[in-house]
Amino acid sequence: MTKVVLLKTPEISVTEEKKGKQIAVKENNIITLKDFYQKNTLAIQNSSTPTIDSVPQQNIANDNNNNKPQEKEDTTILQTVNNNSSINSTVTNTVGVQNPSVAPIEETPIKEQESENNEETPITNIPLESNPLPVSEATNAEEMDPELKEIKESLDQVILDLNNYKKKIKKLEEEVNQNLEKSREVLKDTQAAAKIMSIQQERQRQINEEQNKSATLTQEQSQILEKAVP
Amino acid sequence: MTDKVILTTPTGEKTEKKLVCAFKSTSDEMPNIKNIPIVAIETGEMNGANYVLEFFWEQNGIYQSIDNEQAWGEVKKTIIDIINGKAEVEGVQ
Repeated sequence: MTKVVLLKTPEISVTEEKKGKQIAVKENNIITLKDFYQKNTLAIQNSSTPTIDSVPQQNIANDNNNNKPQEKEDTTILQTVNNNSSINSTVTNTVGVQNPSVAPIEETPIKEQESENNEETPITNIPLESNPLPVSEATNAEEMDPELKEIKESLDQVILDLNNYKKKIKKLEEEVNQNLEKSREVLKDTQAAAKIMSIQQERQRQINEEQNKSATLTQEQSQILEKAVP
Repeated sequence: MTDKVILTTPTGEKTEKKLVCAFKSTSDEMPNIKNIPIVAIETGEMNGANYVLEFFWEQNGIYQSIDNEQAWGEVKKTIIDIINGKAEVEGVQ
């Protein structure tokens, strides 16, 4: 039985902008983890015992998880894990309960890191098993390793390709954004030029008007002069 | 009780993340992580249909990436034990 002390951690500081180790977990397992953390923390906080006493998790679960579906509880309670801390450890059921959410633990491909500083971070699935594996079958699982390895490698490749596509898309998006920005600048310049041209045209029109007026006045003046001279 | 944590980088940049679990193992079977605070947070990313969790452990008062493979194996085992209801809570700090 693993023993843990739960921690109340409102704020944490991270040394580097480096990603932590990652695993991929099914939604129901995340819920289990959260339930475990929140309910046990609350239960112990609210309990009359102020000291850090040993509180068996199962008792707390029974006391506080009244709204927790019984089926889900069975899912977690009835499983045993091969005591292998490596990524490839296998989850098996000791009791033959059909459980659709139970699947062997498998290592999923390493997610490509965007930052150079980020070290290789394995992502591991911790799903549960759909059918209980008898011990003999679990032993035979080793014989299936090459096939699983092949599947895993092809999955790795697919994820790498996907990540590469994502990078390309991101790059293209950046280019599009840059072009858009340039277009906006050009548009601004064009609009400014058009405004200047319209101002110039307006001035030219005013000059032309003045010239016309001046010409008309000169003509009138000469006509008056002609009449005045005998 | 909050289910959120604020990650603060050395540059002072703060990011709010969803806390999944914060614990320290007191088991003798986990020598590499015994009494070392560990946090599991949701990254908000998905890997297929699965949610990606990120783990940090406290070293010299600051949380950082778990760069010890044996310790990382022990963390994973602890998580599996918790999921499978095989973890015993000794207290809250």
